[in-house]
Amino acid sequence: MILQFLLFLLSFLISFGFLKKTKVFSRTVNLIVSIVVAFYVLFASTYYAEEIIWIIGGLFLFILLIFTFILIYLARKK
Amino acid sequence: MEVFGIELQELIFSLFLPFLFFYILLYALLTKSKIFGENANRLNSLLALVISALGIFSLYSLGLSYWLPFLAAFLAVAAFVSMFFFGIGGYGIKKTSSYISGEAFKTEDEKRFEAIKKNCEEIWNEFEKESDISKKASLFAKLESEINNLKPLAEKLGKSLYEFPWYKRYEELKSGRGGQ
Repeated sequence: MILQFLLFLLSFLISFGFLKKTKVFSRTVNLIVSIVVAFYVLFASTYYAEEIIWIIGGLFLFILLIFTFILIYLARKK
Repeated sequence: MEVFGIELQELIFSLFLPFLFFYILLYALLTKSKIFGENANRLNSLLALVISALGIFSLYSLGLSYWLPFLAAFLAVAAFVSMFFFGIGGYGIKKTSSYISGEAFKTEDEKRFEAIKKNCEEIWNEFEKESDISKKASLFAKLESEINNLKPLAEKLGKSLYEFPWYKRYEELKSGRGGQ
């Protein structure tokens, strides 16, 4: 349940942020579009909950590794 | 002691600290990249919070969060070891190549002479390509000050600056200008 809520929030924030930055629509339209996108993600995530947890978990570990390599690279750079 | 049905130690090391780590890293990354524009601090912080919470909760529900402290310890050691070996390797390659090229046997004065000479050559090439007179004058002044540094070094090392073609042309130009 909490994962679905977080995914909803994440998709809302990302879509709202990008729409705001690109300035394609007005503020109200941005809000409506991002809410629609977020609800779509919410329903999809309830349907594919199990798979999404695996994907996010794997992606997170992958990101952790990438961060480590970036830190090593930056520490080496003079 | 248990908090929310989780052991306190597990809560701190497997959930809270990884969460904090990712939150700070993501926030810094989002702020630095300015992906959502200039003044998007609230959005950046919320996004970092949501993404890190999502990651930590999904890892917890998969039972993988238990391994996070071990993974962190392993990565810290691996990072240190790899940096150490990269450092040793890089230093070894640098030293070996300097011995092969003869750079390692040069004195400080010789190295300095080479560096200033190279700089002078670059300025001279730039001077020749330049068509704007005011820029040409400033480049010539820059070249003169570099040559003034180069002359005592050349005397000390027993080298003649006339063996460099750019210096001959510089002197010709200077004497020509002085004669006018």
